[in-house]
Parts: sequence; structure tokens; C-alpha cells
Amino acid sequence: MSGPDVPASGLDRLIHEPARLRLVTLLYVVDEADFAYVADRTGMTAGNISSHMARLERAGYVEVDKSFVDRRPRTVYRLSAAGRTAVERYRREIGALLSEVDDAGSR
Amino acid sequence: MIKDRLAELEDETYVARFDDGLLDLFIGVSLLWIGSAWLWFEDLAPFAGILPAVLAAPFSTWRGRFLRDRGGHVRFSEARRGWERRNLAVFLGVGVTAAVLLLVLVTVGREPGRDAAQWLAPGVIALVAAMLVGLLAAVSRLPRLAWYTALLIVAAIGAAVLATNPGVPLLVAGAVITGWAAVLLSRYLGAHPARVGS
Repeated sequence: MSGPDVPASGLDRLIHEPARLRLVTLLYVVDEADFAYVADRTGMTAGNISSHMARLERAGYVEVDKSFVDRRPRTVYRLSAAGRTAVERYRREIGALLSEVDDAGSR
Repeated sequence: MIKDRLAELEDETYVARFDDGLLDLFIGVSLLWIGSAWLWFEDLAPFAGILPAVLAAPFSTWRGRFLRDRGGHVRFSEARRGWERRNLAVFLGVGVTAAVLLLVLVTVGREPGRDAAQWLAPGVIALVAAMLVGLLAAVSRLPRLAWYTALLIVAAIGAAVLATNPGVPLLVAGAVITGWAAVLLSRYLGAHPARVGS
């Protein structure tokens, strides 16, 4: 008995994690978004967003801009060029992986 | 497939920016205002559309601030912002042209001695409004605006059949749209309390 011929995964584990994948895909489709917007769109808790964004920032995938607007603190996130490239690479790799699984399933 | 899904996600993210109902409220109240003008201030009625047009820009700025304080700040891609600017220019161009044509029709074209409301076909103003809201539906891709367009067309037909004042279909459609906008806004306010920071 042999399973589908799944290639050794070269997927970026930092992005592959579901919560971080939600964050980077959201940031991929917009130019920038602040903390409140990210929380609203993803439904993630403040602590979750902060910790995952910190990891993405350390990896150089996300740029964080902290400022005050109308004397209120505001944290704005945007995907860096490296982050954008990483998402595009991830998209290609997961696409290739899924089509291989499809091919194996239809054999 | 994944690329398509990202494009869909971008679309959904953009359209969700209108969940607050304020655009609906602006459309509904504008229709109520123009409908009231045709019904009760007929001399000023041909110019009633000027007020919503003038208020559109400050309304948009105020709405942006309202959204930022509630649902947070987002800036869409340059491609999306360019698309929005082009569509807005087309919308304004068509809107101004329609308003000027209507104004010329009502003030210059009508027979002497007859007031505008008696002279004008009852559904004409509602049809012009339907055309503008329909255009807005096409450029914003908000499905509910297509329903508003259909409502305005039905109201226009109703006004023609019943031979009412041209303001009546606008009041009817405006009341329905304003009511629905209030529902959307109250839902949005419930789900998005004002934030201290973001």
C-alpha cells in the first residue's frame, strides 16, 4: 500500500501556522492596517495578534509602526518586501503541493 | 486557485468596509431630502440635489474618522485606490451630467405657466436616482445597492401608474433605505464599540 507521492515540504513554517497565515494574507491584500482593524477582521485576541506579529516582525516579514493619533496610541502593520515575497513563495509551494495531492488522488 | 482566493479576499475586505451602513444612510436621507423638496418646496426642488453633492466630501472624511475609531484603520493597495478614484470620477461625471440635464429640462424646457411637479413625468426623478444608485452599485460591488436600485425603479413605476408627485417615490424608497441603514448602523455600533487606542 502506498500513499500519495507528497514531496518533502519546503513550506515556510513561520507562515504555515494558521493564525500567522491569516495575518499575512490579510496584510498581503491591503497596504497597511492597524491593530484594531486586524483584530476586527481576523477575530483574534489582542495577545494572539501581538505575539504572532512580533514573530513575523523578528523574521522581517512585517513592519510595525507605533505612533499616537489624536493622543491615542496606534500600531500600524504592513507586510515588508521580504514578507510579500515569502507569501508569494508560500502560495506557489502550497499550490504545487495541493496539485500533486490532487494528481495522486485522481490516479 | 489560491491566487483567485486572494483576489476574493481583497474584494471581501474592501466590501466589508461598507458594513457600517453610513453610505446607505447618506443615500436614504438624500432621497428623503430631495423627495421632500419636490413635495413641499417645489421652487427649490430642481436644486435639491446640490446639498447631498456638496455634503458628500465632508461626509466621506467624517465617515473615515468614524470607521477608524470603531473598526480600525486600513489602507488598500494603490491599485484598489486608483480603481476607486476612477470609478468615483465616472460616478461624479454621470451624476453632474444627469443633474444639469434635469435642471435644464425642468427650468427651461417646461411649458410656461405649469409648475415643475405637474409638468414632469412622476417617475423621472426616481429613475435618475435609480441610475445613479445603480452606477454606485456597479462601482462599489455592494449587492444591497443593486436592491436599492430595483426599489427605486419599482417606486418610479408605481408613481407613474398612480400619477403621484415626483417626490413620492423618492420618499418611499428613501424611507426604506434609511430604515435598513439604521439597522446596519445599530448592528455595526453594537459590534464595534469606540476604542481608546489601536
